[in-house]
Amino acid sequence: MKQLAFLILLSGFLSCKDQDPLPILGRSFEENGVTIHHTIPDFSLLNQDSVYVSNADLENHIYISDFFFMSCPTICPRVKKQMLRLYDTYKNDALIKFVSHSIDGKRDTPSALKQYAYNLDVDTEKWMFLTGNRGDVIDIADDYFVAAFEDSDAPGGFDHSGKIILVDKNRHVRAFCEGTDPDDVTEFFGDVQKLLNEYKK
Amino acid sequence: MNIKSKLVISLLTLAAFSHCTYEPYPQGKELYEAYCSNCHSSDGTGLKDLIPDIRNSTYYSTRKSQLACIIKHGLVAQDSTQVIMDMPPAPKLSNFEISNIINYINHQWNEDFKEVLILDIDADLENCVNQK
Ligand code: HEC
Repeated sequence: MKQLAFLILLSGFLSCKDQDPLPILGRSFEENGVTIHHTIPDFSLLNQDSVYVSNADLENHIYISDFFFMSCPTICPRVKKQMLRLYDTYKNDALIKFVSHSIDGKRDTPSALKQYAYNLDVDTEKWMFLTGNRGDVIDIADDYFVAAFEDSDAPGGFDHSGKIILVDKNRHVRAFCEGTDPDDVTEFFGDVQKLLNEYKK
Repeated sequence: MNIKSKLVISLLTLAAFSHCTYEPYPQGKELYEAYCSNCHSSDGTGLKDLIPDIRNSTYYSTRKSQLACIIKHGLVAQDSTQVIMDMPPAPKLSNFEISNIINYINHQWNEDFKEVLILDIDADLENCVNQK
């Protein structure tokens, strides 16, 4: 009997967790009784076609984002493989875009990124590759809760984490996962679906 | 039954059970995971046209004497090919470790697997072309 009660309780918790909307991540504060949530700030970065891209270009989309650099000898290809998994699943969903940021603006020029996208066999209308002055990209990484900094001791000259981040239409970060861990990414698929459902009701 | 035949039987049983998961090159597997799988994936498939699939590489057949060289010294992308990324060198690996990696990937993905000996690897590494 006790066991049954426990099971019922447990299933209650589980289903409850499933129905909860995704939280809005990051620091929020109260201003005149209104809660202000963490928001991806305005940015302006060059894409693979040397065209400036800003938040306006992502308006009305949710997007999945990561940070990398082309000559990265460590985790980047592993993370890209997972980004590709997500891309393959959602490439035909008009609501979703993919945004990869290069933190190595010096070497990863727009034309190099264009070749990279070509070799990855992805449509750059759907999946854009952004670059800029290294300061600009590294600053914005902070807002995606991604640690990225120059470190001559790190392999390839940069230290950064392999997070994959989900951003909603209001520029709020709603979920993230470790792009180096396929199981974590599998769970992240559930988060993406949940956010999609929010907009498709 | 004497001790010896008991031992043989238990070894045979063990072999039968572990047949499917038996890994003859455990260090090679660990080294592959540590040094190679970030790029080529644990399953060898690579990443589209950015990083080659190494399951059917000519480095197991026509170019096999160059395999140790590219592991140790890396491979710089040639302008004539579509490849745009370099494979980094792994200068810290010993010849013995390299032979374990080669045996692991060969055994895993090359149908005509033949074990390489450390002596072969020593000779191959002596004769690397384009050595940096
Ligand atoms: C930073 C990413 C990276 C790492 C780490 C890496 N490789 Fe590579 N590998 C590449 C790239 C890129 C190429 C293609 C280079 C070229 O053709 O110019 C390549 C090519 C190869 C090839 C030749 C494939 C073919 O048929 O053309 C083999 C074999 C290979 N790698 C094995 C390994 C092994 C074994 C390791 C671990 C000791 C390793 N690689 C580590 C990126 C990497």
